[in-house]
Amino acid sequence: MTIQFRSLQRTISPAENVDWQAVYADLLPRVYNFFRYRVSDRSTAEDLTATTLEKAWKGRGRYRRDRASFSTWVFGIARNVALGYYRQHRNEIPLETLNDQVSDSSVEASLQQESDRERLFALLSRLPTREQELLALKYGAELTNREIARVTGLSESNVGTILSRVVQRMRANWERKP
Amino acid sequence: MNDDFLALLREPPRREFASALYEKISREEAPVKPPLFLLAAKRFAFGLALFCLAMAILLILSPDARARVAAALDMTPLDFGSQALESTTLHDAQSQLPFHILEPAILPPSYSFAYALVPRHNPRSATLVYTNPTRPTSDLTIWQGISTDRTDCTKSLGQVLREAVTINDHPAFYIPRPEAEGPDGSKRPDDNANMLILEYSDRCVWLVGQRVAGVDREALIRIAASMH
Repeated sequence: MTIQFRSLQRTISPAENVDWQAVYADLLPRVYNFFRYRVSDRSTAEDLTATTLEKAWKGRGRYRRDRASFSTWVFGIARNVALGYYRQHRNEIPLETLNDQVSDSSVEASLQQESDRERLFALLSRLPTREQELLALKYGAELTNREIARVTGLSESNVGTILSRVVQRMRANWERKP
Repeated sequence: MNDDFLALLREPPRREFASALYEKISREEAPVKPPLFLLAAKRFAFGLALFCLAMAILLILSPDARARVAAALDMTPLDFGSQALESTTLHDAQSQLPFHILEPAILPPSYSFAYALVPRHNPRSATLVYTNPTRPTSDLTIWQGISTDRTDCTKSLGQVLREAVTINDHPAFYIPRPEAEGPDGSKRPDDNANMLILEYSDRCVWLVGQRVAGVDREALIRIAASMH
């Protein structure tokens, strides 16, 4: 894997000896989880993750190190991939597919955990798109507020304010008995 | 602020998915290597192009280089030898040639015009042969031919001893011992012959005479000066 990532290394950080195997290992779950917070089923999250990473890999020559970190650049691509997906699937409500997915896979997982996931996704799906996206970047991709600001174009303080408000509302709803 | 519940959806990607994606990206990464001979051919072509470019620049910028290349391309002797020659009269020779044949007004004693030789195909030169009945092997030969791309009528002579002279404002060279081809095909200086070469603007004129027949340096110069 190190060999295949050599050219990426040259493109991204010619002066640094970066372990790009580790970069891949770091980015893959974060991109995947970003989509897990945006779409209900795993297979769609995997498809969108693959699309994102392939686009990033093919377009790595366009990456400008002086403008953003590589992960910020990749999540910019992920965001566009998600937008494209929602444009194509405008009438689909994620929660509906989630129910099918959870019921299929709940055999393997604990009923409680699956129930919680189902409930959390239901709460997420009721949020406006921008707040869903911010939560996906924060809790799925595990970006900092500063990185989220760079990806979304919002100011860092704005990101913090919105997230704080959304998390408060989500927690209130979460603590409320269904 | 307790927000742990928001991380509930987080999970690692399936191992199969991760490896399959990695394989897919790796395949895109692997460059298609062209065959080695193609690389070598490309390098050779690139080198050749560079060489040609350098030569072109050199030829454009250096008159000396141009002259050397012209000399290298013009190594063939003037059209004497191998062409099939046809013996004819002076009048007939003149009718075949695109230029006026120069004739000497003065000839050595006992010499007279015998015949003219003209190449059978594409005639661009004439050889006038003057004979002396008392000296059957000492002909006076005057060759003249178009020098379209020749600026130096002595080019095909090689490194023979020569003396630069001027005859009627035309540059000329006197060659006391021109090379002659022996029976075995080898060339060696001819001790009996001597030669004068004149450069006109449109032609070269060679005069070859035999010293033993009285056609020496001074005689050749006089004959050449009388040509009209």
